[in-house]
Amino acid sequence: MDEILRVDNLKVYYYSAKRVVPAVDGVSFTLKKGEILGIVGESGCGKSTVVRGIIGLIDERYTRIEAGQVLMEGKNLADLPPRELCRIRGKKISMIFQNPLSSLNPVYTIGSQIEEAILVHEKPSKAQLKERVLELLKLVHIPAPEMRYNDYPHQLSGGMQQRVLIAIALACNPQVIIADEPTTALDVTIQAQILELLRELNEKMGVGVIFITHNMGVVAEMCDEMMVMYGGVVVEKGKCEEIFENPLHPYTRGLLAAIPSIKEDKEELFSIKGQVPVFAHPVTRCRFADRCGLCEDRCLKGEPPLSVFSGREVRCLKAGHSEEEAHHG
Amino acid sequence: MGEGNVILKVEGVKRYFPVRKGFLFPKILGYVKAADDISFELREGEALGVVGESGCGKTTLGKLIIGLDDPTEGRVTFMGRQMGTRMKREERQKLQMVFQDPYSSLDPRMKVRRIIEEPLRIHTHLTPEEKLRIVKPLLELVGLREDALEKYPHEFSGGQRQRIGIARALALEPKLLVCDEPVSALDVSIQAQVLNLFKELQKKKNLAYVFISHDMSVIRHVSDRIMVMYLGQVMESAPKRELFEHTMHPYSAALMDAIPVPDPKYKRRRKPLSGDIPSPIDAPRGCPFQTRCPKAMDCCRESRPKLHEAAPEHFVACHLFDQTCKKAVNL
Repeated sequence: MDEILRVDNLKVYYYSAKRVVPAVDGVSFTLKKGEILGIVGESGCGKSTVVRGIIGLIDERYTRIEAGQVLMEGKNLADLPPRELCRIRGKKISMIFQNPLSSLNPVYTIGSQIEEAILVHEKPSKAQLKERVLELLKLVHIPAPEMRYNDYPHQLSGGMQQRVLIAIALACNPQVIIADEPTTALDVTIQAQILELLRELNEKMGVGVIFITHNMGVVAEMCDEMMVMYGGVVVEKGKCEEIFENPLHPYTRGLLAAIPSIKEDKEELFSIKGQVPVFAHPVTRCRFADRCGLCEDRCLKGEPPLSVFSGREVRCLKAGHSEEEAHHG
Repeated sequence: MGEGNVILKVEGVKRYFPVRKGFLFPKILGYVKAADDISFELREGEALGVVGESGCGKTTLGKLIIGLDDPTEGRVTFMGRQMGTRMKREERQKLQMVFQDPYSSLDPRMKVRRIIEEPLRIHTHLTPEEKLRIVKPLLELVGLREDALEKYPHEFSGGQRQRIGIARALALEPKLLVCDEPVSALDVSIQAQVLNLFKELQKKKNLAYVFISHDMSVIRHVSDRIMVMYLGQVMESAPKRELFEHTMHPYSAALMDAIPVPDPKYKRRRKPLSGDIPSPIDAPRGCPFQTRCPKAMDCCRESRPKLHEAAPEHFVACHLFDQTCKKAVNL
């Protein structure tokens, strides 16, 4: 069995006094062992909510998992009581967050914070514990781990803090790591180091990684499979190389054309008109219709299904039929 | 190059921030050299991109240029007048700023009309009708509808707010805009819209920009000339094409190489830089980049390389391109 995580038609809705926002509206995917899956989209597209739904990190006062299954080792995580979920979080699935300084506790040393992650799930002896922590620090390439063990988070630079977070995520040898914008708060040269580290760990340990980012360049560099989200649904999903080579959904195409290039000079950037909208449940049209250059009447009549086209899943009625036309759009 | 008058002159500007310790009788432990001997000239209608990582002093430089801070040494002259905190109000008119965060740079209790009118209210004595006659075309220029006038900032998205900020900066018809990371808070598709707007304005209004950003690809898109900074010093400065085609300084090369390229087939040429940016308080003697430089030599540890013209219009501060140092190595 290669498949370690399967998400089936996951729906997470936010409830407010005025309306119901379908932040995630039917997302399905599978993660294989040792695979890096990228989830890309702009702010508000639901990419973070997907993974929060998977590990149950949602505020139940206003959020509900409406439907869907999250299957891991035959168990449906969406149905598990909170107590059992705690046994999986950190052990089987762990997470790396965006802002390293706010994810670490400022009054504990980094050594004790890594120990804490281990002690929640296991009961090793004191000597074993320390050895494990030093090993982890070495694994994420922190120089002089014995000295760093007793450092507080503020004594480390941003890149080093992110390395500590990665060490915490790896503490119990998880099968899946969820990285939610792990490099967004870092400088480019430090970002390159962290990406390199994540890729190395993925190859060495065979963990599956769900990599969330808004940066198309990072996806291209890191991922095998990717999915592009817009307004709570997947609009395109497939092999990274194929999508970059020939994006089928107008949104993916727009997103790629909008990036200023480091390699060449573009006179004017392509820009997707309009703003990222917020939807109210139920949605009965193509979510991208307002901003799409190829919009037709039928796009407004019902939401297009996610259909398979040349080995890729695309949520667009016009994909595949009019490729020449689409290139001009 | 060579066309237009020089409107901004920065000559040997230094800004040192003392690091103090102690409460009653503070001792000065050292200095953070946020800007260390920076010089350049900017012509009318020219866009200068300033690029560097956090802590390299690019924001300090921006503040010095618009006169929100006084340099420790050296001077900034804009259209013949020296900039500083003690300059008069009317001298500031032709130099405006666009800020990074469109959420905190607009007063939430003012309507858009008041926000854009504010510079006019401060600097001119126009009647309300006259002000409106200026504000309306501005809105159209930045791509907002007229009904935006009577709305509050919270009714707009990030990209639209940034447009409001740009309209406000343009109200007094400035000659120079200092933009401090104007698109880093925006999404990709919105970022493209705002970048296009900047380029369009440059052509229409013959605006000069100082464009500060950490993103090399954004800088490449908007600027005519690029200045790469590291720990308060200029590492390399050249016209855009020259800089990208003949990159000289190892730091510029590393910075370009570190940017993730949206093409899965693209292979990285070099390994990423190792190590962190050193603390600016105890910046190393000699070249500031020596601790991370893959080509560091002995002379880099001893003396700080001077910014010199290695090719026409291409300035670089690196011993690799310094004739005297090369001789020393060969001997």
